[in-house]
Amino acid sequence: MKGIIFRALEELVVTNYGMDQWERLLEQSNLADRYFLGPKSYPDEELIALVTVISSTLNKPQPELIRDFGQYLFGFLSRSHKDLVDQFDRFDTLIEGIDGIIHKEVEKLYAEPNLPSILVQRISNNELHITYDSPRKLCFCAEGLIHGAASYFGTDIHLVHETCTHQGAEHCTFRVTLTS
Amino acid sequence: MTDSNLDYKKAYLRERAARDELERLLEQKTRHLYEVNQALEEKVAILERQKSLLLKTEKMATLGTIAAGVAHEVNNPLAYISSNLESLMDFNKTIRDLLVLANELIDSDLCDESIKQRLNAMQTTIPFSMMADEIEDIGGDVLEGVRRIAGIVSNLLNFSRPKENKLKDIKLDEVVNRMIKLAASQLRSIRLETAIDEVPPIYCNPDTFGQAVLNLLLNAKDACESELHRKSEIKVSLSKEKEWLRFSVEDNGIGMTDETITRIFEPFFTTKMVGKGTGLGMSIVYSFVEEHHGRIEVDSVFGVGSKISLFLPVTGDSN
Repeated sequence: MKGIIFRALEELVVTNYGMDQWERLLEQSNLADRYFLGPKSYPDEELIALVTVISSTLNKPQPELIRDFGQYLFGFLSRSHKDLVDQFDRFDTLIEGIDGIIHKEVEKLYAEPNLPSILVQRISNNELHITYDSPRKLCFCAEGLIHGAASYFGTDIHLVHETCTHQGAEHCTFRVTLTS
Repeated sequence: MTDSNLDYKKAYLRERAARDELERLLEQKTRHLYEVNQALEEKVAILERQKSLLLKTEKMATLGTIAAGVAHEVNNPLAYISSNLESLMDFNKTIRDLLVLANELIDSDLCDESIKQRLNAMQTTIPFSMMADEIEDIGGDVLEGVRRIAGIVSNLLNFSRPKENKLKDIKLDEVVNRMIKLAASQLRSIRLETAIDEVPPIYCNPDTFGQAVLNLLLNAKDACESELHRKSEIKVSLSKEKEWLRFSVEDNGIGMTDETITRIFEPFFTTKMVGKGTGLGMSIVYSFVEEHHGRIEVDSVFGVGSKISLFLPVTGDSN
């Protein structure tokens, strides 16, 4: 997992709960001496450890926590990679451009980014069907990212997580309806 | 918040801002590097295409050079095939008469004397015994001539046909022998000495190697033609020397000046007359040897002759 994801988590925790809390989380996750750099890769287990500790500290279920983090992550990424996000003028064109534009740019910037596979199919003018596939199974994060993107463009959406790998499905699918 | 906490927070925020800034700079550089790399890859692809075109140009030029010789080479067997067929035509009337007589014999009561007379009349120009001998020779000669032409055409086609530009295990001795045959008509007036050992196969591009061999042979021939005071000689050898295969072409032609030696591998450099050489031959030899991690030795004395040796590693690990 790329350091930029950890940096977003760090910012989220420090902004909302303070530096002490971040230090404690690192200690409780056995990462006391860890610092994160955006382009560097870190073991996936470190993210899982942090999420587990945060979930238990806040007494918040992991799916909900990861979803919230995904939403925050979009805001973080849109600030750090404004030029990239500015290439899109609407929520739905950004979602459709994930594979062809955003992931291509990520591949330019990061070595071995291990990106998820995201297939977007337009069902109608206001409906998209998204297939998410990743061995990391971070579909709740993807859900949060989609909500984050919608907020960024001021678009109201209704998202249904139709099938989920956590429920034994082969891959996750989302149906996103633009309601505004 | 206490003062120390405030200081700590300020320090943390400053450090975080530094990380942000550094990551931005790194991303800019990475993006730039990626774009430069893309441009470089495109240029390499263009160069590869140009190289392939140059190879084709040189090949066409070589084909032009050997075409005249090949025409002559084909003409020789054609001449004796034609002459043999003419002889066969001379036998034609007699053979036809014999067949008529045989046919009449089957269902007639011709007497022996009459048959003898007719048979003798048939061999007044060419005796039957001579015809019997010659028919066998004619058939053999015609067949030999046709085979020779087929061999020449096959060699020419094999050289000119576009090849897959792929590396494979090849026996250099087979390629060298094939190229010597192909250039035979060009080397007709030269005393050619060959010492081609059977060598272990190496992993290389047979098409480019064949072109390199032909270029060296034709260069040697041109060098000999520029030196008119002695009988032209070319020695071609292939042998295994420890971990290397050595292929050499030595001539007693005009030789090269020091300046020419330093420039022979430059593309488009030629000492031949305008229209006679593309100036690509030796650069193709050079790039072939480079690609196969080999080396070239050039020994030449102006007015005495030249010896060009290609060394290719036996392991042939050009990957």
